[in-house]
Amino acid sequence: MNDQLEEDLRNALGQHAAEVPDAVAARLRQIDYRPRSPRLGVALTVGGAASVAAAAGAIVSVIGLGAGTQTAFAGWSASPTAPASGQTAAAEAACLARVPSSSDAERARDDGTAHAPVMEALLKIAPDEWRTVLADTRGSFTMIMLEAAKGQAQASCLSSPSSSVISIGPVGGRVASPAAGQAQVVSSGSQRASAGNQFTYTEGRVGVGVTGVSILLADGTHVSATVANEHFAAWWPGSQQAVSQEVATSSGTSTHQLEYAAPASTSAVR
Amino acid sequence: MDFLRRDRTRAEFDRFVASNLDGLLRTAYLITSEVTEAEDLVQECLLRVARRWPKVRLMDRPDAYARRVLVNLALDGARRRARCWQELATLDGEPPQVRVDQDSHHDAIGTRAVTSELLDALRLLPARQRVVLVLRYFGDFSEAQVAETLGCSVGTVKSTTSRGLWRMREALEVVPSEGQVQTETLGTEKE
Repeated sequence: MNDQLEEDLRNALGQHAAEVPDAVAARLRQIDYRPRSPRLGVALTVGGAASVAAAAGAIVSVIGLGAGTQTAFAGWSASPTAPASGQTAAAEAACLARVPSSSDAERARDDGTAHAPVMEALLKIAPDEWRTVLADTRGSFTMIMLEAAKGQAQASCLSSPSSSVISIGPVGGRVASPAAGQAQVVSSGSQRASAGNQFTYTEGRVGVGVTGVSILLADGTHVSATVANEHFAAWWPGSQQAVSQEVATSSGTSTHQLEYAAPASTSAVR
Repeated sequence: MDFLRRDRTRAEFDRFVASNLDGLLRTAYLITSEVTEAEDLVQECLLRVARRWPKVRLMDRPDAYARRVLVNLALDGARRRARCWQELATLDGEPPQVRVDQDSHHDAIGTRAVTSELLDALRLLPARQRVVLVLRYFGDFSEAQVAETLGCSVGTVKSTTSRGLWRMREALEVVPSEGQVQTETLGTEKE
């Protein structure tokens, strides 16, 4: 029985693999991957100052890689900045363009992919039903939060002048507003940007009276969130996790630890 | 002289890409079922290989290293997606359900129908089982090679292959009664 299944599977995979468009491989071939050149090994064989030099070279290389990663998010700041003229509108347009279309949903349904039901739920939302509830600007980067008119779905995009990424969710019902003076994390996580660089985000709802939300990362960095229309959002390059957040109201600020053990759940902080 | 070494390195890496790109891309596509995601995975994979090229080029099988990077990236992606869909499922109140269309199995005279049905069953497997089956039956890699790629024992590859085939056979053979729909909860990545 397995022999036949194995043979059928082998044939099916071979046929399916041949369906990858040639243009995709062509695009990948054109990328300059900038392979690192091997260093000359001579310095490693001598002692004293030469060894120090070799070690220093290695350290510089590591720092260089780090700096390269940061370059992908060059201009990012821990506090929101004022958008340039047209920046928010361009990011909104880019985000709306990436909300799943009917053809995406049909393909998901035809392919039987696991997220087809979610895609179909999104399909019930007309393109003009999405509205922007928050725009967070940090240098040339803009995070846009879209919400469907009935609150049944949210989408967030992070756009730069050259690319944008989108995450969809949650879908299935409006997330209740937290009580006055409270903030509630609705969604958080790390994503890979198109260039392969990672960023981490946290977003959610705030109750009446909240004037600011600040996120403390594991490395001690404070990231100020943008707060608008009872929503807040912040993001930062890399994969540092948020460990606490500070919620500001007219009567003062309070800091609360965040727990990431159960990403599926929402967590409320006062 | 640095520029000469750089040129040689690039030429060498370009040859590596030319020899391995198609295999990596097709493997990524079969694992993810999404062309754009496969493209992203392969790009990220090659960027990582390029970063470590001075060491990778000296390996006995640089292609095996690249395959390992690709598979790890794919499994990381599957875990992230599982978390995402679990979140959606929880907020939705009821776990979303996947309909497995069994009808094509019974009028599947043509090869196309059989192929589609098999691929549907493959997509419903947990990511690790799917990866093992793709490597074994598309890549034609031995159990030892798959074990090396996944960083596990040959015994684990054997049992994962066996479980994957069993689940596929079960999905293909179980015929629900009229009106009944076979369902599976999303985001099950455990084996």
